[in-house]
Amino acid sequence: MKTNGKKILLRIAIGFGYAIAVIIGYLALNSLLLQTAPSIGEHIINNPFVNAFIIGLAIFAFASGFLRETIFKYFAEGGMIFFMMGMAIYAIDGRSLGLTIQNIYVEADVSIILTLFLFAMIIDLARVILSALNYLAEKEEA
Amino acid sequence: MKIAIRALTIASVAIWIFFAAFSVTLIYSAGAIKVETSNFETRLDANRMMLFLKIQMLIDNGGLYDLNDMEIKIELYDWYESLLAENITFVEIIPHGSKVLLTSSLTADLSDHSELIAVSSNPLLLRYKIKLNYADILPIKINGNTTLTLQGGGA
Repeated sequence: MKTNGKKILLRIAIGFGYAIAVIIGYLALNSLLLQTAPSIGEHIINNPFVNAFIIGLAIFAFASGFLRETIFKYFAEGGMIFFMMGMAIYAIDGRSLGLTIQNIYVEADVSIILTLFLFAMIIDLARVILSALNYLAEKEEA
Repeated sequence: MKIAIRALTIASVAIWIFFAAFSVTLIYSAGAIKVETSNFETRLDANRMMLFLKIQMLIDNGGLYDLNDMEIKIELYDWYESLLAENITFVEIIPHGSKVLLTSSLTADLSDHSELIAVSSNPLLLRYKIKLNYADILPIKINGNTTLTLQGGGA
């Protein structure tokens, strides 16, 4: 990785840009939620698990931006996919998500949505692996 | 390899757009469902030692998805958690954009619970368990409880 001071600063700026994009996306989705379904929105905002998930995503997004145009970018993207899959599986914990809203307990079986989520993640993972192989092949040709 | 990467990128973006749109509409629709419960109508027949309870529930499905296979189970308990009566109401479908008025009636035989009639005021516990299939892919269970006071015949 050929770097000098300016390049590192540029990488840091791009990394921060990616991380801020993730956080802005989360905040925008949350404000939309608070307007449409306030009780669900408040539950998500106050949930430490969701906050940890977003912070994790932002860190991986920063790493992906910082390591752009190197093979390590694909490591960061792959890591982010495994992190999201792991958090999703951990969150499900018996296929159900439960929350209490105004003394009423609501439990949803999200196994079908989880399957869809994991399916999307597997396709993304395949894309990242192929992109990494393509990057290495191009590098070798060059 | 580049064609495969492009195909996977297109598939991945399409799935994520579908997933995001579905999640947003699902949460929006959940917020658009309104449930109103009317006052409980209780009637005590001291001679026959029977308690009649009628509950009306108005469900306004203002969301974008249907509510399917809704099962509402209502259980009435005395203050010592002894089951007095239960009722199950089943609704096959509440289409989106429609309102449905549900009526559940409970009849409790109080011949073994004569103290409920003797005492002037008795707190009762009403538990409800609702099972439904939301948007065809999301089975949901809702549990809650509320208390109501039965005016007995005693002084």
